[in-house]
Amino acid sequence: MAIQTILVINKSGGLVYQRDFVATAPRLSSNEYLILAGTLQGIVAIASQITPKSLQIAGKGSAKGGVEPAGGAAAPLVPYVGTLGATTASGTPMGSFLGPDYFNDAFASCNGRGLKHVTTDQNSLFLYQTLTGIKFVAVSTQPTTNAMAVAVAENLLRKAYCLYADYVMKNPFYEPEMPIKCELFDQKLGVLVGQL
Amino acid sequence: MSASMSGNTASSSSSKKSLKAFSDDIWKNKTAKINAELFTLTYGSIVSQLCTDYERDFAKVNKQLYSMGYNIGVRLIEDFLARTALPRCDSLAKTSEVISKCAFKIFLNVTPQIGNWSSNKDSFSIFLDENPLSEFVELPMDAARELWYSNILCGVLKGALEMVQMDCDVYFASDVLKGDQTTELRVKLNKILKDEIPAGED
Amino acid sequence: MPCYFAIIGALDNPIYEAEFTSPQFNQFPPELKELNPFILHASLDILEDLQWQTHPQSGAGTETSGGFLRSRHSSSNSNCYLGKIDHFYGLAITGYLSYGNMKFVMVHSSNSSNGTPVPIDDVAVKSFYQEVHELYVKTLMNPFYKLNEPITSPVFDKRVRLLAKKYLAK
Repeated sequence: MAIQTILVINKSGGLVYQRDFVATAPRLSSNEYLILAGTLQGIVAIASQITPKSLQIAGKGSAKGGVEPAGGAAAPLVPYVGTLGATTASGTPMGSFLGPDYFNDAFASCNGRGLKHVTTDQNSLFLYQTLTGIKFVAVSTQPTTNAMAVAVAENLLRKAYCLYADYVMKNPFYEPEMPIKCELFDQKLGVLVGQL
Repeated sequence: MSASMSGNTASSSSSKKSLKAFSDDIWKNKTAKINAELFTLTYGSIVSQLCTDYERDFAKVNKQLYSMGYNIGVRLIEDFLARTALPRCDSLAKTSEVISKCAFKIFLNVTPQIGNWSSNKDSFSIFLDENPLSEFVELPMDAARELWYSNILCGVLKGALEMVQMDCDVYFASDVLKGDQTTELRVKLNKILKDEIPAGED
Repeated sequence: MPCYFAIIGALDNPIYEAEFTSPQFNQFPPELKELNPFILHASLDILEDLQWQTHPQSGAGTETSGGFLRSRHSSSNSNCYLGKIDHFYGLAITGYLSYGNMKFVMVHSSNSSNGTPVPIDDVAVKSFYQEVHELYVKTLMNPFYKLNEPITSPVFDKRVRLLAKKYLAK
């Protein structure tokens, strides 16, 4: 599985970042990407509403787990997947992150009821949403429903979020909510996706 | 795909980990650090320069520090969430715990006390036993009355909490630099911005 | 023995002065009291001479000391202490030089009128200087203090006086 495209959608549903990683990827016009971003934003919201009532209540009941990492029984945990594919040469600086990887624990997905994963016969789309409402979207070149592949994608997207925190949010000249034009982010994201 | 799954062992061990141990680990093993004195001196020179620039109008300096902090907070929260991936807090008590044990620990390596809850549980105080920002500071006479030296912290908390949809007032209630017994930061929750909570959360 | 202590800035401007006279120290005679700053400033020339000598003739009671310039070969600040650098009618003057060219100078008086120079307890005086130096560095870390400005902090003053009590009250 390779990653074809990565998108970042801000909390109001605007596309702030789009990048293709496969030369042969079918190209959408920038307008179409904007529409895709807006549509995804809407679908996430709708998906969370069509969850059957009974599941919602069941989820609420056991979601009292609290803030402990991976606390609530209902909060589905995304298992940690080791360094993605090719291990990074040890000692490569990772911004403000120390150690061999950005994180090394299973983590809870806070997108409990929204859309996370779409599969067609050709592609799969994965979505990771943060507490602040930013969505990281990855489109793969192959369809998959494999739990492992989904976990890998969520790990990848959380790492992309780590890069975003370092190279976008900490860039003093980046204005929040605006399109991301940060070369360092481009570069590091390329390396990250290249590791797959 | 050659990725290795750590599977259930990791998830079960992390669920038993306390918030404190969890943050200690992040602070110790995953966060790049800088020299504390460099940090303290940098912040000190900013504040002292602001005092000069605003011609010792300390109300303006407080305001400026606050807005600088706000701009840091709205950005820093992303770093915090990327690092910790903590789920949403279901009560203000949890929020206060995360702020003291996790946020202050990771970014400043201190764990302030939480206390002084209001009767309706919508505001609390953060007691900074040690404040890395004001390590060597002695306020000049004219500043001692009005200047909140570490006011940037209020802004940071305000900005960060706002980004996770909590509208709060954050302000200093007392500061040892001014001769008070404690350094007390007050946080008051106005309302939770329900409309802005991203769809899909439980 | 009563002492008069001052820190002289890099521009030869006094930035701090204190007189250590408590009941156990005795007092400076009034006519000397006014002279102290002059005596002290007069010895600055000698201090500046010593600063550039690799093997100072006078002062530095400790045999191992090779003068201020030698200190670049070691990381300790033990060479900052220049020992007794001058005397004036039975008053002894000791000096200490920081790497930032701050001069710490002190006039020691025996309060005896027979004109014999005061014996200096090098170990105690050196410790006093070193700890004051540390306090000075901490003051320098205060963002509201500017280099070469007078030190007005009451906390600094209090601590220096405590140190004087600890090391010089003999």
